[in-house]
Amino acid sequence: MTGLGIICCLGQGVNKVWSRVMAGDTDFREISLPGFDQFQNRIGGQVADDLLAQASSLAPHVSRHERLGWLAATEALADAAWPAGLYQNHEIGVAAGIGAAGMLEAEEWVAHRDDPHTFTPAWKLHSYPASSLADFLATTFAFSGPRFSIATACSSSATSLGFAADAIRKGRAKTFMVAGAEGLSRLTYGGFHSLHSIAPERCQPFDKNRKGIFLGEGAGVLILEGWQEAKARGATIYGEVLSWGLSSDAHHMTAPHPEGSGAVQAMQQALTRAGLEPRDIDYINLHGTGTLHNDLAESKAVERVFGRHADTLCLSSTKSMTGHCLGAAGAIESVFSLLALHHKQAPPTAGLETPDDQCPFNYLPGSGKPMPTMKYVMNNVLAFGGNNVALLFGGDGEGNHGA
Amino acid sequence: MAPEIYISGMGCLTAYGPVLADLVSGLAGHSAVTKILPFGKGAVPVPCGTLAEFKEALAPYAAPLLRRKMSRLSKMAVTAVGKALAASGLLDDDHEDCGVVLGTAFGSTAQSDLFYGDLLTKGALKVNPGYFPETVPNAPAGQVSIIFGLQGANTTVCQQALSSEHALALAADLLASGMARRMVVVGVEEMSPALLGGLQACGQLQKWTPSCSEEICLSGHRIRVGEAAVALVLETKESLVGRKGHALARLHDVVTAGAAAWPAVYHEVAPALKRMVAGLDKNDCGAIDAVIAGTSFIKEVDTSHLATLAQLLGPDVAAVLPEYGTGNVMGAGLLRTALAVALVSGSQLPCRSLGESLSSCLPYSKLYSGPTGPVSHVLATTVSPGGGAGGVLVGRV
Repeated sequence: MTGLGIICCLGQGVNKVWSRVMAGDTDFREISLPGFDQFQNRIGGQVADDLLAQASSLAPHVSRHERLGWLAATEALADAAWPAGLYQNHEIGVAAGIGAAGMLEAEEWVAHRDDPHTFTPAWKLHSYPASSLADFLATTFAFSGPRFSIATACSSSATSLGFAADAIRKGRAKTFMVAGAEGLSRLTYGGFHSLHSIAPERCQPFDKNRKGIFLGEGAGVLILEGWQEAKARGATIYGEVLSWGLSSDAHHMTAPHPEGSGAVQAMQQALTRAGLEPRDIDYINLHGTGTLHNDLAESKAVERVFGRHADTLCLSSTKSMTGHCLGAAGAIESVFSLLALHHKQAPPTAGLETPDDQCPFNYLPGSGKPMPTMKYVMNNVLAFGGNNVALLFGGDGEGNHGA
Repeated sequence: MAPEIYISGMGCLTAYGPVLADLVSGLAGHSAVTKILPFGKGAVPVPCGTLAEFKEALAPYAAPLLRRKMSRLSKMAVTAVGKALAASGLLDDDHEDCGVVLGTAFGSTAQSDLFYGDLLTKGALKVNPGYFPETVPNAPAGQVSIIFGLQGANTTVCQQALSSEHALALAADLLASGMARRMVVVGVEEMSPALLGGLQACGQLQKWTPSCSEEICLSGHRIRVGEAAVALVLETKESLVGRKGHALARLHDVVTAGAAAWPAVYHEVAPALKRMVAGLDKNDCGAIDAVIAGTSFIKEVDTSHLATLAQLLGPDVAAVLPEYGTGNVMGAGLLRTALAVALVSGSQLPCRSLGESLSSCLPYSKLYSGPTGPVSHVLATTVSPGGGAGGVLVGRV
């Protein structure tokens, strides 16, 4: 990974967001989008209007999630700093992960669809297809290599990252832009609200007094290149995708397996494919939504995979600061995982004040922790439908470069 | 070296009926499109290849209580997968390392419309929370994993008309990398009145005329759509031999080139097809005997598609054009691969030759000139809005 970009409720830009994350900052507030006033609990991680205004040059039909993706992609490409002519356009792939895609705009059209007295233009539907983010980014930046969009709710962009890394190793593309973007929408917010999953005041993963999730929005974009090409041009290498695991709970549409069986399978698969032992892992960016079911299942899964090493592992949930950004979560948390490797610092879990006996590990409450010997980091992402992804990253020089 | 991958089971629901044989026999007779009224003010009827009721086909795989919680899209996927697993002899097997990759262009628009309609009319405190989980595009893949106990890799890919080809490619990659021993690949598309309303508002759909079910009319930019759910069971040779299973066909290669994009601005059909065919790994197989070509009902696209293939593969190669009968099934393009498998396993299909030109409007009865002969290798192809192309090469075992 040679380029990173991020935008979320904490701000825009890798440096700014990372410094706030390491400080354990939060910036949740009442969501101000139209139609959200019907929700009793409506605190979340909305991106500030002045940040979105930076995308005002884009055409009117470009949706909120595409604007967020474009802002992060622009930063990531600048960060990668490809010399002119380094890659042909057809050698550059785009892999996207989305949750609700252009649902917010489509909702406007649907709301007036049957009303003979009002009119909403059909271009509001332009970004409804799940493939819209990948299509928009590829056409905007003229990348004509392989293109695909993963739509597995919360694990979408983590899965995209895994498949994109494999595609580079198989020679299908020389480089990939991996993007996860999510804009808040009434349908998604209403769904979690109806399931009583949204916390009324605070998001506190792994805290005994947790009361649920905060939804967020944002985007994370990562530029992937072959290790040799990146090394040869002297690029900043934030880390390498050493391997990944992908599994299904085959248990329940919305609840994780109580013993975390699918998460165990994904983490073990990632470790085995990388040829690493559980004791090699230094830090895990957990899924960590802040629901009781997730916290218990994920803690049990960590215990089953890592055994006694779990007592010395550093774990945290950065959703405690960004909110749950659904389709963008995997990409945003992969950016944090790579920054952790790059800076050799583990980010904290915000809002964790009262330990829960059933979650007995070090979830890094307060602020971030320096880890000067950090070599390997895992990013867990779990999703509706029982999908589980574990991405395993190594620092520059720690991997076998896909050999 | 990549492992040999075989297809050992298929399930297929189309507007012709809930089994593949219905499609095979139906293509010879008539178009399956019927008149459907989309949602929305000012909507006019459109032709659509709608699935008939398939409750009986689903019943063996999902209990009534579970069926009530599932969206129609999930029911379609579960039915196709159940049939595919049953055909492969794996229905009651241990599926710890069997995964699922699902392709769909739009997901469950009906369920999203249902839930959002509830939110609009009843408000946030009175919506039915049971509707929400099935609004996500990967809900059918989740239901499939739960019902059949498939605990391996599970994902959903949405890339317009190339969704099924991408799903096949990702599944083949997962098998090749050892992340799974068996994969179920599903292509599914539901044409709900909500989706049809949106597509019509965007100017994408042909209008219904009484001759729609008897004539194929190609347009400048409007399509006819159809529903389908198709599932294939993919296995490595090791898995197949280990369980003494029977293969229907070998999957030689899956290639996608260029992009699918939205809205439907078709261009560069020929270059994308040429890149796709050039990228095919044909080392283990001989000449391509037949093509199952995806069709859009857009004249410029379909004629360019067939003419380019004729140039690349030869004008006398047999061409089967199933979506002129079913309607354009968008993300459920696995339908074409299922027909390719049927062909190499001995079925015969009505076909014309690749080099035979298409007219703007022709009776369905004149679409085909005869049945395919015995074939060994079949290429299923599609082109996509945005200048993309996909190809799936299957061969006789």
